[in-house]
Amino acid sequence: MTVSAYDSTSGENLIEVKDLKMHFPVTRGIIFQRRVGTVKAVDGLSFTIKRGETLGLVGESGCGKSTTGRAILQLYRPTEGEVRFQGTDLTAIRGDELRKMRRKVQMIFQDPYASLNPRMTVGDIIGEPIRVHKLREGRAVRERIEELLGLVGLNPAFASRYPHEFSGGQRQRIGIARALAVEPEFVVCDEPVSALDVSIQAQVVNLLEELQDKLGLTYLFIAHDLSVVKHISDRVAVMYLGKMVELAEGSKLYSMPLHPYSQALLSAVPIPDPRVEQQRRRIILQGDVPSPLNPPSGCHFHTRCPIAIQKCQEEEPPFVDYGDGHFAACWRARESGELMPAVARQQAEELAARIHADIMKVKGAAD
Amino acid sequence: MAPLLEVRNLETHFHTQDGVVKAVDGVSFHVDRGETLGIVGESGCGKSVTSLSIMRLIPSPPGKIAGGQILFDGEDLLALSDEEMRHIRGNRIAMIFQDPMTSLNPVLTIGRQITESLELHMSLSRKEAYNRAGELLHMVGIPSASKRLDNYPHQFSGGMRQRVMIAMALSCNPELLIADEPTTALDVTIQAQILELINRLREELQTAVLMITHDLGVVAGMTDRVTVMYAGKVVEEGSTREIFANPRMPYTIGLLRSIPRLDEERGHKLNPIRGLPPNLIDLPPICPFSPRCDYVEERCLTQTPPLRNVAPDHRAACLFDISMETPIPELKLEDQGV
Repeated sequence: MTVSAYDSTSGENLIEVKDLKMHFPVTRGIIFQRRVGTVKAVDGLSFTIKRGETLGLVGESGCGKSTTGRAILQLYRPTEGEVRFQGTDLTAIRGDELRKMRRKVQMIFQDPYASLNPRMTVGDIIGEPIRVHKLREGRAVRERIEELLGLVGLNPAFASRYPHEFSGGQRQRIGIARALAVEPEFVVCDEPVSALDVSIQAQVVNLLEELQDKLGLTYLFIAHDLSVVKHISDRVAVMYLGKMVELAEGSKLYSMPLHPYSQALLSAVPIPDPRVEQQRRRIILQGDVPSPLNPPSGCHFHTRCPIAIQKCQEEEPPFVDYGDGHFAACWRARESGELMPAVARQQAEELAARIHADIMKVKGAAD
Repeated sequence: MAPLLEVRNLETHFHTQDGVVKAVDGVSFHVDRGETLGIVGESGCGKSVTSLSIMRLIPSPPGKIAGGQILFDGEDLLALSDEEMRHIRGNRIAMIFQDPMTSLNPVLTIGRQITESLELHMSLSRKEAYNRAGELLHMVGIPSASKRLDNYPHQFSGGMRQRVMIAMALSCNPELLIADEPTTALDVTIQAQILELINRLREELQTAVLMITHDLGVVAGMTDRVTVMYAGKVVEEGSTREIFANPRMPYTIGLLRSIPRLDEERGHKLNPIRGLPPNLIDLPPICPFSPRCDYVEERCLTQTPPLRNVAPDHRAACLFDISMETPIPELKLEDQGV
């Protein structure tokens, strides 16, 4: 049923993910570890990424978006499912064969402070993968390092410096240069700008876009900031509790989201324009994300969904195409667009009334 | 009527081995009763140090409030004794912090942490304080509030902890609430919950709010007026509508151009601000933004531009009349080897 978002017929797919599951055991005890549960961090994802495309992956903390990125790169070995890169199933190969494939798939990490070894010079950090994969030898390594530094907008003379001498944005550039050192085709960008200040974020986002044009890269861009993801991505996937709930072209997802969770997520993002902000009506979700250790039955979102019906509790909705590659997993996807605004208005009024009553009570007690 | 809070020429310095860091360098602003003022800026611009200075929570040494006045309801907070300040802090001025885990005590129950200030400031008995703490938790939207009073902070999620912080902050009906990046550590749907809550409470209780954030979206939705800070100085201030519609300081213009917007059309390219914020040690007396500014002229390097009126209720620290429409001079970009 979820296979429909996995379209292996088209030859231009660089990455094909089929029914990917990543489960982590939860154990108790020190010597005799008993398995007491399973965290289903990623639970059955299927999607494809075309060559040269940027697929954005959004969701809140703990939804499994970073785990998805790592499972694709085989940094975690998936529990189940296939990850095909240019037709080769990465989950089936190991050892030397896998190492060779790793050259083609790289990662840029979130925290530019933790992902660079403080005892290595920038040149060594960028040069290490070149030496490991024997891409260049002797003096050519040095030249390649300087070329890469230039490519990411840093002074080639920085090669002899240490990471602590650089700011966050510059470190992120070093991380990008390291990822590009092995001439990859596919790069997983895991929250690459989340740790940076706004004025620096734009520098790094533009750099990633330029590099994509120049080198023909394919990105999986993981972030929680929807504005950034929308800006950089061709298609955007929304995750909730280990499942993909919606996948569509960026502009379509933003103009006509089908899943109530996507609608709430989009309405929650503040827009830096007071005139827009005063007109907007937010859909405020109640409560927190449930624990992935014990996810709700049926549709994982039904506990927080304002328009959930009986069926949502009982049956998991399939991830189906609602036209032109706009996928959603919701039983009420066709009517959600009409229902949600009214629900949002009603919720806002209830909340206002409740807070008003509570404040009166608190005030009365104080006087 | 005099403003509730008036900060005049505040200077907060930190003495380090490398020299004196002027984290806050001559900052002035005011907050009227019942209004919300936003202070925006990037890391290191001095916005958090400003808020800690108001609460007199700057660690000393190395920090020191080197000059200026902080007038709260006409009284200079910097002239008060520690004892007098304790009656104001948490009672008439309350603060919520960015990280709700580190600002709650992990070994005390939530109930105890709320009742502590109620007993201290409102002279309630333990029983009365406990009941009121339950009501407060309920008010900020914590389910089965009275049962949760006996829980410890680690038993709450991030959003719930921030609600607890808000309940604590509002427990004594403060006149001013300082919110220092209250939603930065939270997910976007939880952020929406918390901002909505702060908005409602502010309307109902008529509390003045000083909102410190780096997120221009939050500022746009929450505040009446904005103060933009850069390198320890106020570089632009005015009504929120005016600042977003007609920013006049190149830094503010640069910020607004560099952020992607959810409602933008695709294909539009971001215009980042080049370079990095300056080091605050031994800042020369020039416009602090000049090394990154697209419109820089020689005059910018001879003086620190003062805040001047550029429109009614709108002041900017730029010598020139720059606006969103001013074309960026091409030549200057090359001059600086960018």
